[in-house]
Amino acid sequence: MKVLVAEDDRVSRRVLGRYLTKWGYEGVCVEDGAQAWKLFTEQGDFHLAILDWNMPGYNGIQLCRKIRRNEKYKHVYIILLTGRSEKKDLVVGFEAGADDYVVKPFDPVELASRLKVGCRLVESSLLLFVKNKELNHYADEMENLAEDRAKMLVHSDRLASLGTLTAGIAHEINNPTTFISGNAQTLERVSPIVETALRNEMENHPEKARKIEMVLEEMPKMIAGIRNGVSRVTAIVKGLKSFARVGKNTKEPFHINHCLDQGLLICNNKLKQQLVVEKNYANELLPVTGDPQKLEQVFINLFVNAADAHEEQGLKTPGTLYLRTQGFEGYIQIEVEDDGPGIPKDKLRDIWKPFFTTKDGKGTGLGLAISQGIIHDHMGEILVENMDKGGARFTIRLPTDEGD
Amino acid sequence: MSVNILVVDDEEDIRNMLNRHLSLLDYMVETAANGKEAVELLQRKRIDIVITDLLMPEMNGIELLEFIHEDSPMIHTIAITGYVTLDNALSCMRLGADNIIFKPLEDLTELEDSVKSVEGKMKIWQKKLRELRGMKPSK
Repeated sequence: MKVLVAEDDRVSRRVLGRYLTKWGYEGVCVEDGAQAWKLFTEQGDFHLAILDWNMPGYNGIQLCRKIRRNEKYKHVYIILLTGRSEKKDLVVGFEAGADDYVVKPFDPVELASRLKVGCRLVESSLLLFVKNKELNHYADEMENLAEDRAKMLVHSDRLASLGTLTAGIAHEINNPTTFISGNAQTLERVSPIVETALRNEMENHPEKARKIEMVLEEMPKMIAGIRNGVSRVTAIVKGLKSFARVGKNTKEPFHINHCLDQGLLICNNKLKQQLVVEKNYANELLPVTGDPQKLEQVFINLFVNAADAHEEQGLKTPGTLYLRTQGFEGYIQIEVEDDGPGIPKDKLRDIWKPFFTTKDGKGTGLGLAISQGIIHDHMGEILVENMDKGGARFTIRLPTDEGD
Repeated sequence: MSVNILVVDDEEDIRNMLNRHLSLLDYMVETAANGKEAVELLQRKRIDIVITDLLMPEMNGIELLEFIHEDSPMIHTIAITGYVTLDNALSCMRLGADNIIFKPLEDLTELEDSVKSVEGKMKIWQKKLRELRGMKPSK
């Protein structure tokens, strides 16, 4: 414990200093109030103060007030040293903020025990201070946690209702699509009859020839337009449905290399025209637990994207699709890399957003959004980067089963 | 011999579309807006194939399939649904449906092929029945 002693009487100061050392305190002695205050504020870590009532600079009472005025020194235990022992003097001392007083000439035994009391009080108030600070800290932390949690809840709630809404919309769109599509197909089927009839009409009424000619030419295109629209709507609805369904997973252990090969097999037709596949699989990888069909869907999305990217470049030679798997402590890493044009730097963040597409009407913009959802459902991560030599690389990390 | 088809769907536009399409392919087509209407119609008319939606008010497609399965097992059934679930598919299979086709029927040939295959089966039986009649001429 650090004790400040302010006493202008040289002898008494020295005696006090010696006793303090003897009793195991770290005593610092000064000879007037001004020095006392200077030291006290400079060092700032005194626990107790023994202040003489009458001193040059500031007297003991003034010092008491100064110390008490600062919240920081609340815990400091102040003992006034005084020759006065009248009641009204004591009241002045206590009111100024002193905790105790000792009448001069002091009895060392008495002072020692009074200092002990002081120590005890300082200790408990310091402890209280620390606890209080901790409590405040925890309270803050809890508050932040609660806020974060609330935000997450709102977010997941919004996502959940978005999922329900999406599934509902997908359903509702299905019915009208059915009869748009069906009617277009019927029209297509009967168009030979219409054509014959129109040609007869043209012969009978040559003045209508120009218009009929146009109808004959445009009708198949109009029907094709409807059917093209329908197939795009269908693709979007299908994508939305699986986007909304992300989260309901079957769980089974499976091997990722096999899953990649299955994916390759499924889009073999599209791939073989554009890309040569170069596999570099690690043997003896631990199995992953999850839904192999969904993972397959992720790989298919990546493969098809690579093929589309290469096709868009319009090169005569096929590109290369690199597939790598690697096992690490607790996870498996899968890399799907191509040597196509890569992803425009400013689009790197956008590719995960639903409905974002660079495929100009060909894509639904849902593939990567769905893929990311699937990987997150498997407690994994999927990252993208552009390679320096060109091309994009998708890195997927999935946790493996505990080896048992 | 003409093939009589009953189209059951609560969506009028889909009903009409299928009616038109199948009529143009020379089938005789009737329509009903739900299972209940379909059952009533089945009591009055000879129907060979029922093409039914699954989600409908009053009486849904599964219930209709159950009724047909019990009451007129000779009638062939094809389910059409936008509500693709494993449960639905299994129910249809169990109730003896010839096929379950998913909306939005982007390609009607699947439906046409199903109908044609049913037609083929019917023809085989008709041939057999004719042969039987030939063997035992009724005098």
